[in-house]
Amino acid sequence: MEEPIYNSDLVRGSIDTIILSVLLHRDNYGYQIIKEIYTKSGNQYDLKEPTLYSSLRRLEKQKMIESYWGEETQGGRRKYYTITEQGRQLYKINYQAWQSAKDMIDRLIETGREG
Amino acid sequence: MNELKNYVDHLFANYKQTDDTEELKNEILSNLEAKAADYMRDGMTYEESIALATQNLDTVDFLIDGHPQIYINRYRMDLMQTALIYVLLAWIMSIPVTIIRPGLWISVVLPAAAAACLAVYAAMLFVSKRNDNADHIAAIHKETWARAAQAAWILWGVFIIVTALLNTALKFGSNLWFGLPISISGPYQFAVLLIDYALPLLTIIIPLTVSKAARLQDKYEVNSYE
Repeated sequence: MEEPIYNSDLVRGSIDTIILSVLLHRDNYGYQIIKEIYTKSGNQYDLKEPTLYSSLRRLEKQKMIESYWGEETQGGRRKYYTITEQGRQLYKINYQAWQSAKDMIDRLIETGREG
Repeated sequence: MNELKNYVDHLFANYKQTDDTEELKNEILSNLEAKAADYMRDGMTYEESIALATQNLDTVDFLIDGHPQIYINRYRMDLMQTALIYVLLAWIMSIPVTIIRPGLWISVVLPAAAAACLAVYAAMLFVSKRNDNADHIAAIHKETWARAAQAAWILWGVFIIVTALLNTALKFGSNLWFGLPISISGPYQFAVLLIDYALPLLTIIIPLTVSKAARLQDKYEVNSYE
């Protein structure tokens, strides 16, 4: 497999916020969340199950998301997650924090000259 | 899909069954089934789909409470450093004693232990530089380590008491038995006496190291910061 051009550790550090952004508009279940993130990333970022489940458990423990079991058309059951009000707040806060950090870092690593 | 069910059961084989673990099992299974179904829809064979679906999940250690993930290599290096420092300190503290009371333990065992720790530490440094795996993560079972620390301290306490009693029996046994007064002929003998009782205390480095391991695990725990 080719090495991705982005630093995946950096992305993984924000995974809680990324998952919150996916759940912001629609409830979703584990594998579906992975798929949406993959599509959202332009087929670049393949979220691994261990990271997904760790993050989901952490967010649920912090009460940022809630889970419920949903019946599927084919007769199975899937565990769906929904974002809570606190989760929406956290998303906003983290989004701002990331934007500020991004601006600061952009400013600091800039040299103002070519080369 | 029986294969997937077996795979997930196997993942959870070593853990106590609770409502929590059962629910987690079902969640993981349903997600794996959806993933494999997608692969088959894309044209892969049943076996290929199963293999590819389960590729990323080979342990659930970190999902079961009490199994935090830590930076295992950094933790081991730090622990080895600690052990080395403790052994060196014990040896250094015992050197003046050899002037008064030479003994096998002090002049051979402690320096040998120090050299051994140094060799292991150097080997670990070399391997870690070569493999560049400082960020490797693994899960540990906290409870086992907590129990090990407890056991180490209890054993040490028993060891100290036993050696103290043994020392007393050897030195003063006959005096006590025959009801004769215990006499210490001078400061030199007194010092030798003290040393004999105090020296076993140096073994405190063993339970200290085991306790330090537990603290180091907390230090190197993987946290996801936002």
